[in-house]
Amino acid sequence: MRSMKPPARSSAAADPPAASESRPSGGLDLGAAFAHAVERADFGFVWCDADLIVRHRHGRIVDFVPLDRPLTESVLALFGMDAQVQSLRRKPQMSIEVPNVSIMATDGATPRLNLQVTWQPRQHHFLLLVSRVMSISELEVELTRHARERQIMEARLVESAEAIARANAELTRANRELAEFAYVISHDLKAPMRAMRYFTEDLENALPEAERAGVREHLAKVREQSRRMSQMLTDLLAYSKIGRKEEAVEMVDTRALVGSITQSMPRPEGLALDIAGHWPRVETAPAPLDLVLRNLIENAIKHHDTGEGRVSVACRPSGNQLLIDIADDGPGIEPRHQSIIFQPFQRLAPDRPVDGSGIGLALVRKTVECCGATLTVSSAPAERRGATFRVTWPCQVIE
Amino acid sequence: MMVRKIMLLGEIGVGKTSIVRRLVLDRFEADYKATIGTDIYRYEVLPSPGKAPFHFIVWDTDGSFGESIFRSVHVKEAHAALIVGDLTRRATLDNAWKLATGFANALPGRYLAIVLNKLDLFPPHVDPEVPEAITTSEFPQVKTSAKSGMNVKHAFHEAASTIVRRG
Repeated sequence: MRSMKPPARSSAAADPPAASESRPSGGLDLGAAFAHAVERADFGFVWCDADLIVRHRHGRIVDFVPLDRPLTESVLALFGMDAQVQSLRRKPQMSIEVPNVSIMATDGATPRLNLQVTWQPRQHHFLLLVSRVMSISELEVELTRHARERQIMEARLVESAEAIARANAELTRANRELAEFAYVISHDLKAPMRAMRYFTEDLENALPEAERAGVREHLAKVREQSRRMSQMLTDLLAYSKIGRKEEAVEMVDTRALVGSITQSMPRPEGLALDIAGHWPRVETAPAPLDLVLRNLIENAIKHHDTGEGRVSVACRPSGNQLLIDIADDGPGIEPRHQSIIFQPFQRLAPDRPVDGSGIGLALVRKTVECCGATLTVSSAPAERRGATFRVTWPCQVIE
Repeated sequence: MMVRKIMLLGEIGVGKTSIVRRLVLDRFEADYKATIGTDIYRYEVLPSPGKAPFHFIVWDTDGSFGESIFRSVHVKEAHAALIVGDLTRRATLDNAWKLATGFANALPGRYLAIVLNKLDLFPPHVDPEVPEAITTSEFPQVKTSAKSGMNVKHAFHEAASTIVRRG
């Protein structure tokens, strides 16, 4: 922001030798007074000869400019401008201005300065007027700095918001792809599975009666494995759908809900199923609660190794949540297995025939996480049989 | 002695002052203080890339100048420019690209490099994302950290070497 423009009138400064000399005037030493003022003022003067060598200076503010040296050696803001400065000799009505600069050195810095160079034809000197930047007070500088800092922070916020938006878009895209993938698994892959079963039946029927006996068992195994895979695909689809639908909250009678679940649940005759505690009416999404209770109770029944014993389902309201325990006296779960059981298709005893694909507890855990509930399991089969699953279910308890 | 003027340009807060203070004073101040106006430094490039001693007059400019700096006479006698961007703020890199093309148009043939600063804010195994316009451009690029001093001298020494080589 340097410019050439007509200089401000400065007759006293334009006379270098007189500026520091005394000139008696009616008993007043105006020259000395002026020199005194300049020494203490926020401005100073530097006179240079036609070759831009510093010959005189006045004012503490220009102490950093050494005498008898090229001006641009110390006034770095004018470095490289010799030709432009020299051109002022042809245009003495013009000036060169460099506003608001600070010249830094290892031992300190000049104050923030405005520089103005003019050519003084009468004295055949260049005059550099140096003034402290007064238009911007320290307070204004601080305010400007704060505004800049805020500007940077705002820019960072905008960038962060954009990054979050990009991540969200990516997440949405990934979810959409996952949904499409789940659909492909559940639908497109199930069809060939079905076809395989039909083909095995056709194959069996097409074989002469004498040859059927030899392959019947194998074909039955193919059909069974095909059915099992179809079931797994169905379960996987159910798993992928959890949490992707907004569940409506409504008034739920939890005693009626648990009653309907247990009533229709098959179990060995020797296995008792108790419903205990206080089951209140609550406001909650019924479908996820149904899924959690149904799967935990079913899990306790299915994995009971003797078929003789007890499964107990107990509820206790506590503030705005239900504490529900599903306890059994089955074989229990070793502590080292207690995290594995919540993974899809994981079974602790694959050799023991149990209905289902092994996704029940994975469905429970995902549902619990989506509903803001918690699920813990406690079991120490080395000490005693049985396992207890505790669900802490958030809801509005009515009574 | 060879003395050349080099401009430090870039958006507010990208680390121009930190770079020049690391270069000249070998110091880094964590407290951010925006440059109001222009700060001018002298730096001797050692060892000199030529036969004679080489000095840079470094103009650390106020980031709020933006592209208006090319309409002023600030850059008129500049021999080189380092355009600084903040690797953690994509917008400053886009702006660095604009300033680089602005400088190249205003002073064709002058040395120009893009300095990608604040590398220290990334884990060592992470390669920060840089706009394609910059990575595919003909302008030299250097990733720096004013905080650690990484590549700061290198950026200026490269500029000095190129200026000496071009004569």
